[in-house]
Amino acid sequence: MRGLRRARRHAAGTAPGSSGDAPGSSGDGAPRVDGPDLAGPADLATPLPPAVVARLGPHRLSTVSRVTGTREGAHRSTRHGHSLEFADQRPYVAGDDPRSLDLAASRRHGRLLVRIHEAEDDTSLRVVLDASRSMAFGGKLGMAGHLARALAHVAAHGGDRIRVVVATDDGRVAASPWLRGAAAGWSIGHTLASVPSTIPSPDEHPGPAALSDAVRRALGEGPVGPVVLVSDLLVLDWTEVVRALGTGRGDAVLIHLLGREDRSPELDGDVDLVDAETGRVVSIAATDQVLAAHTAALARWQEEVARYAARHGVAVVAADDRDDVAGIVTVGLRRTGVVT
Amino acid sequence: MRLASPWGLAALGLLVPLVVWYLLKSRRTRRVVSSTMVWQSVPQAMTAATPWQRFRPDATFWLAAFALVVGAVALARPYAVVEATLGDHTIVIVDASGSMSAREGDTTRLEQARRDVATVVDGIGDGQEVSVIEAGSQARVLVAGATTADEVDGALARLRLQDGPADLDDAFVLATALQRPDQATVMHVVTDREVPGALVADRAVSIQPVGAVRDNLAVTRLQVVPRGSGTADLFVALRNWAQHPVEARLSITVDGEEVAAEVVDLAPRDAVDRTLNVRGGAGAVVRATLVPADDTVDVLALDDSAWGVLRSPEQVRVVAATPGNVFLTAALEAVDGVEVTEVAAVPDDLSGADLLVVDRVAVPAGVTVPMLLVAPTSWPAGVTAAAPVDLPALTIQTDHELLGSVDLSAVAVAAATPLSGDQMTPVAGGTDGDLVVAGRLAGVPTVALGFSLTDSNLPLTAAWPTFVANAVGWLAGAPPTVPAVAGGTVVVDVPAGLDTVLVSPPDGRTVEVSAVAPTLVVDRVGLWRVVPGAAAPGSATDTPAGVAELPSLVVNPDGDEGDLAQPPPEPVAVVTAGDGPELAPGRQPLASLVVPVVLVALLLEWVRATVVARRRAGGRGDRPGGASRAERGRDGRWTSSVARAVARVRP
Repeated sequence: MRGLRRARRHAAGTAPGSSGDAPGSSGDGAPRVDGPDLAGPADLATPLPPAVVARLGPHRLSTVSRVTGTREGAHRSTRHGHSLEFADQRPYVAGDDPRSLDLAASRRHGRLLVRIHEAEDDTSLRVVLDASRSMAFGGKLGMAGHLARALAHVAAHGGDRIRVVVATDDGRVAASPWLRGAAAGWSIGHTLASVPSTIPSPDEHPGPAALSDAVRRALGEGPVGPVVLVSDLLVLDWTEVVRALGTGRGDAVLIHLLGREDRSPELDGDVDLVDAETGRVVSIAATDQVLAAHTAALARWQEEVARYAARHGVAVVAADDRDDVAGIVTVGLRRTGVVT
Repeated sequence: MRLASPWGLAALGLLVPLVVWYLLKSRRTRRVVSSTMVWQSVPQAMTAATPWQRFRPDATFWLAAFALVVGAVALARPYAVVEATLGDHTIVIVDASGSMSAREGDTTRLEQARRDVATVVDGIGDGQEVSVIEAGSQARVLVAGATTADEVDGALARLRLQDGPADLDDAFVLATALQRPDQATVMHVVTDREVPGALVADRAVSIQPVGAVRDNLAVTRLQVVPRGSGTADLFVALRNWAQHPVEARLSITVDGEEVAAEVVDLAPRDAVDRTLNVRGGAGAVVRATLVPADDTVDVLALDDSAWGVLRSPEQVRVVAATPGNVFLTAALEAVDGVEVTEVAAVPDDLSGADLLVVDRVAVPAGVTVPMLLVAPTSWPAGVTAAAPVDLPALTIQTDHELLGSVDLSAVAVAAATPLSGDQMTPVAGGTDGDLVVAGRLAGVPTVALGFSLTDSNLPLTAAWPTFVANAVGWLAGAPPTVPAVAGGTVVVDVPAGLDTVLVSPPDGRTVEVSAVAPTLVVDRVGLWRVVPGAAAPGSATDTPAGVAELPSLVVNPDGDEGDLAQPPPEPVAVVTAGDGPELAPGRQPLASLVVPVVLVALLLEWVRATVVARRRAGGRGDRPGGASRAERGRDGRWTSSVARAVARVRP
């Protein structure tokens, strides 16, 4: 019951020390705003607060790499097209549209040359959500849902497609259809709300989520486009997940989402720590030295994740479960070039 | 509630080590966290715990402490004060008669009596004493002045069931002897028979009945009458105590071999007699056994059989050495089975004689046959004759067997010689000395009269032939035609020349019977085998013990013991007269109520430990990529969110 009350305090943003000064919080400058509407939501079904939606209004998806879209859009395509932006010239061959002849250049070079223009396509954003048991601690899961909704809003506003792939805590992978337009946010919410979950007991450990499978499935379907993974990466095979994320041809971003429970758990005395996913037990004596060592180890691991992701072409946005969702999107993701 | 042993509460001191154990015990709390991946890389994670922990009692502690407290209370022997059942001295008389061996369900009446007594004395308190008397054929004190229930339980374990009736008179005499004037005495009688009102009058007595009206079959009598030519007539009496007709099989065996069998239909509460003729040698054992077709109608086994011994018709050959005495010879010849040979003097060869009567002639030395001496001219060694007296008083008449149905009050003696002897017992006499004595001289039964029949009017009285018949029976041993009954007293025939015989009842004991006091209380039905014991000192007979077997005794059940149709007595609580003893309050032990509480507490602790261990063991199983039970909520439905469950997952 005490744990239940504490969890509700977290959900309501009224937990002690919830002012946003948790150690190891986002280092990307995403502003942490205290307030009931910005507190970490409790679950995937919680809709975005209107204030957050308002702040996301002017932002669009952006791509660093060329994309291959299904429709014309605002992102540089891997193909040539009919935009106004000049791309290149090539010799005229029979069958080319005579209207594409560059007369000036043909005169200068003494042969017929035609103009080639850039193509601009829409992009297809993939959001992979980690809904494993570890994400259920603190407000991480709700934050992941909000980030998916926020990205859906940004994508829809720019006319781009979005798809959400969820690695559930029962080891399965659930995916929404490709969504576009104003209804994308609602559809994403519907998809997230339908993710099956459990009311487990403290002694049940379902095992880790199939995060690598979810990433590969997201990358394997649809045209080239950015992919955003929202996860705490608290799995032993996190390197495989990051490596899989970096294999895509589009932009890859990892929102490394940790919570206050992960950074500085409230422990006292001798404790048997039970892994929520695997059931593995680690016995510790929660002294100040041990807690400090844990904090240092966590920081080292975060740095290792960042270095490993960089080597595999994955941009990392470190986030806290009580960060501002709009801040993560408009500041953190903007630095990675996925959002403009 | 009061405590009989307050020192038992000292066991509460065990709470101290229990608490200290909890202070020292490294009790790790379980805490479910999102992941232990980072913790595994913390090198200091497994540091030892601080030895002194904060006191954090859990359910196990409270259960253990509760069990400890209740156990300490149990050791203190709590009790409740109840109405008086025990006095300062409580005398328990337990009926150990044959009917107490009747089955009552899956137990016996005697076992029920044991439990009842144990229940009564369970509340024995400080300063109270309990005595237990076994009321069998002969009452005996099992324990006197016991101050603890354990002592009484030990005495109850020594209770020995007997086959005869209970001698409650004897038991109450013993109980009265155990009373002390400074103690308030209460008597508890546990029996299945009515207690005579005279016994309980003016006493603080409670009667606790055991048993109920039951069905029973019995062989109530078996008489063997020798008919000569190696045959004998058997008279068998059967009895059905049940309220309904019973079919049973009557079996007759001679020395273990069945010689006759018959199916007998017994009407309700009916008695049936059967007469059979069997053949067998002298000394053969006849047994009549009644086996009902339905075992449930016979709850008492001891009276299902009766025994008898085949004997040849016997004659007592009497040699009467007398100058002539018509009174003597007539009285001898009047006795059944007696053959009298009259001689003038004691012959040298007495072989073939069963009894020697010496009347006013000399007694030779070394006589080995029983003797009836009537004023002989010389007395044998061992009998001392005093100076003759005239008109001696004959005022003392003992209850010796010789004087059974004999009244000597009208007898007058003109002159007599008072007799005495170390081995002789006075039978009759007066202030001048004993005129009739009996005993054994060198192992030879001897009866001596210190006066001549011609100097007395004894031969003219009705007592004379009876006295002679008694003397012949006592000296020569009358043939026992009627088997003894359990609980009765029999006179064992100790042959001349033996000092003792050894009697072995059916229960395997061995009882030594002396020739001086050859009586024996037979408390077991069945065949009592008799073998010679020690030879008499100075006897010419030198029969070593155990060489030859003497005629066996047969003891048959008492007919009244089989009457289980009698209702048990009405229960009577302790009644004290107005000036009767004031009883101390009784105690109702409560430990029997406390102990189950301890057991329940320990059981709960075990169940809790088992369930917790099983849940933990089940929860640690890895199920990679799969979900079975965990996929569903407690209500069996899919829930909409993982995070909604977080609050429940969090410790």
